Amino acid sequence: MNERELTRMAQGLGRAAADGLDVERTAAAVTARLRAERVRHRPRPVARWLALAAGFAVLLAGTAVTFGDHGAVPRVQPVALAPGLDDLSPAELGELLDSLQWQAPVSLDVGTTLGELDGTQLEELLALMEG
Amino acid sequence: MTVPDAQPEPSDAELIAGWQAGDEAAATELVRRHARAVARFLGAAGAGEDVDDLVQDAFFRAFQNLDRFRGTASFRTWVLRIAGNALTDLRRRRGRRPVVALDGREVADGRFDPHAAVVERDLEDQLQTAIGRLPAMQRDVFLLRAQQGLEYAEIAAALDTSVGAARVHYHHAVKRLKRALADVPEGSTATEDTR
Repeated sequence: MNERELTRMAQGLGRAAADGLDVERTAAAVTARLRAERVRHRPRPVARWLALAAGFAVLLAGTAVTFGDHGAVPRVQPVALAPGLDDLSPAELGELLDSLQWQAPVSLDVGTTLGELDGTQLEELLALMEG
Repeated sequence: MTVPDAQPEPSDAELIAGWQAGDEAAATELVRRHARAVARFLGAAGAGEDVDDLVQDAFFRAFQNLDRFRGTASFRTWVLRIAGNALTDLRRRRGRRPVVALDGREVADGRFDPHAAVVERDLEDQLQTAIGRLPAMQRDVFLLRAQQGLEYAEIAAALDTSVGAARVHYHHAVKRLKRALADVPEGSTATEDTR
């Protein structure tokens, strides 16, 4: 067999596969996969809030451990913040607490901030959050 | 009554830009436009019953990686290359050589000669098997050249190689295929394509 014959035969190969392909079904399947992939990669607010909530719990736990070791005297120590928490404004933090349906312990005064809580109060807060 | 001029079909580049701007219909049109060529390429490479899935995969991967499409080759050639890679990946995962499926080709010709048709079909099956056994680069270069009719420059651009290297791959592919079909005497196939 010479090269010309080889090429001629190669041109005929795969025709059945091409004829048998359902182009519309293929196109629909491809676009459906692309759509699903776009949705999968779209940032989801719920997931962001869940991440923030988890980060908030880490913040509280870290604070409680710090206060627990040293009694009622708060010692300033760096607390590892979950990504995203440290750049939240007070308003956003308030929204976060609302989303967690957190209610202030009865013993806390209105307007109390985390920095003003003693160890017992923080434990109360954590217990409340853990349910 | 005057008939308004039909709008010219958008080019591949325009459809690609449309898809990138979020127009899903542009992606659909690109698949419609090139899917059969990709299926033919994969069928010739011995993809057998996996052709449909591989065509889908190739287009999906192509759209996912459009930012890497530099436009040095045509969109079709680029998808053909991705299809070749997808086939190679599939075979690697399965760890076996290609299985060439019988595909029910029919000769719809008034001068149908059953014996010639059987011989021709047998030769095509042998060739398809031999193509499927080529190294991936040789297989892709051979099919892009012999089946899709591309110039070496476009093949080289699509496969990220040089024109010289593409020529060498083609030469080696032809040599191997001739060896695989060594028992077939010259001129044993029809000299005119009557299909």
